[in-house]
Amino acid sequence: MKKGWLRDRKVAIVITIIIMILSTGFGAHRSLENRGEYAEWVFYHGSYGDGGGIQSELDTRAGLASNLLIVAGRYLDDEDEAVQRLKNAREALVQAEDIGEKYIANEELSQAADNLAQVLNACSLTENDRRYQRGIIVEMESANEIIGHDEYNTLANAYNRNVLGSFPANILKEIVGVEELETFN
Amino acid sequence: MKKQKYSRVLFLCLLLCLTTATAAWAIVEPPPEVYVGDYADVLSAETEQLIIEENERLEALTGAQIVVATVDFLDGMEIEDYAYTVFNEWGIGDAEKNNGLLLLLVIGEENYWAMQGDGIYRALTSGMLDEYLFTYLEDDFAVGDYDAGVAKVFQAFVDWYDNYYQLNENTFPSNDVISGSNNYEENEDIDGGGLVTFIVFIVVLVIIISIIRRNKDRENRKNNSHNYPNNPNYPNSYPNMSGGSMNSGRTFRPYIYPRTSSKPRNTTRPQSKPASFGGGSSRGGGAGRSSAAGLGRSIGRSIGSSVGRSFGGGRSRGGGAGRR
Repeated sequence: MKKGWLRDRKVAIVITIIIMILSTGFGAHRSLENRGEYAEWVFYHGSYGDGGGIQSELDTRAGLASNLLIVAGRYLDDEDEAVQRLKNAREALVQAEDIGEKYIANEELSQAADNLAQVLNACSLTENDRRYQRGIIVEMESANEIIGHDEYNTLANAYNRNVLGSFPANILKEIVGVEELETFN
Repeated sequence: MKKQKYSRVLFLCLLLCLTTATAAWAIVEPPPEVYVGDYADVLSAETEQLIIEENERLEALTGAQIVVATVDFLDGMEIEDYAYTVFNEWGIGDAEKNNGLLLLLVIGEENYWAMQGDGIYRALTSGMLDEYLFTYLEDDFAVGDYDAGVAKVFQAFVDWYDNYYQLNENTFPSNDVISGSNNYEENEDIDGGGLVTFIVFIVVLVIIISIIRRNKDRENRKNNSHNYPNNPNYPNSYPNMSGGSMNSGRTFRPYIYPRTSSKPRNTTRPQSKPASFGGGSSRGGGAGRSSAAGLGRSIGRSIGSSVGRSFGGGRSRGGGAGRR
């Protein structure tokens, strides 16, 4: 009985169609996702593969924020609003998981750091601490500028526009669940 | 009608050229002397000579270049963007070590900026650059004595390089050379989905073919059943040339060719070398990648070669420090 069922032409056609649909869907998903992998790789590893991507600069900024908090701790209470704001912003950046969250957290970190720097300017800092504060702010701004030159956004936009935006990927992506890459802005 | 169309196209081309040419005017041409481009005419001949001599020494020993450029205005560009573009288009510093440094003075906008190469940005941080500028350049710059300020800060930078490369002690430090190649290895199964699809397709095709053949065999057997001996419908035998009967009691069945293996062929692609990105572009630096607008812009190398000097093809990832 079983043998007869397998030899049935109609059954064979149905099996063929099912396999073709599944393999097309699976193949499309893998292929589309792989095309976006390089852009994400650049975000974490940099265009030259030397670890100098956006993530590296975000880590640098988080580290510099810690340094600024140490300097601030000598002049301001832990409960000070500006200190708490920078602490929270730094924590949010470290905890952020997807690229959109990282961007928002990074923006808040910039504002919180500027705010704390202004508060510290009103304090009587030692010459050393004033140099530290200035240097830290300069480094944080410099890291942001480096982020601005990174090619991740260009790659992500190109992927979204040229790969996912063109036929038949623009239809397949909805069916197989491939999402556009988030840009860092 | 044709003339109108032609003149419209020509007009659009001219408009395009004008747009691109305008952008080109913002970024100055690489200076013939390579190491110093005093476009704002604020540096003395002695300072320029100092810059050239120290650079020749540094470059010979380390490949590093400390380029000083003065301009009047930036045509609306942000100073950091301008410095970044100049650095990477000129290709300052060694292409492999990326150890160049650019000091940019914008006299008309009362501003300055220093930017380091990709290979030394962790050793000569933006914070350190800021300190150098504040300590050695700011006071003279503020009173308009640009020449004195440049001479002092330039010498401070030279001292940093001497210390970093331990040139005074004639030793060769182990520098971290940032490779220009991208270590991203393309997944050889980047089209893994496609490969699986292909294999499945082959399997399905084989199943279909075997089903069709089985059905054909069945039909053939049905149709050819009268060929079997002891069948009342056994066909007439055909006499062979020698006069005997071909059959002679033997049965004739069609020759059944052995089935081909149902295993799919090996479709694995040969391992290709890992893709390496950036090698050409990083070495090209400004020169290789000077695709920015510029009608007839000459490249630093071609100009420099006439006096035996040229930019090294280094790159910067931006950042730096300036008059904040």
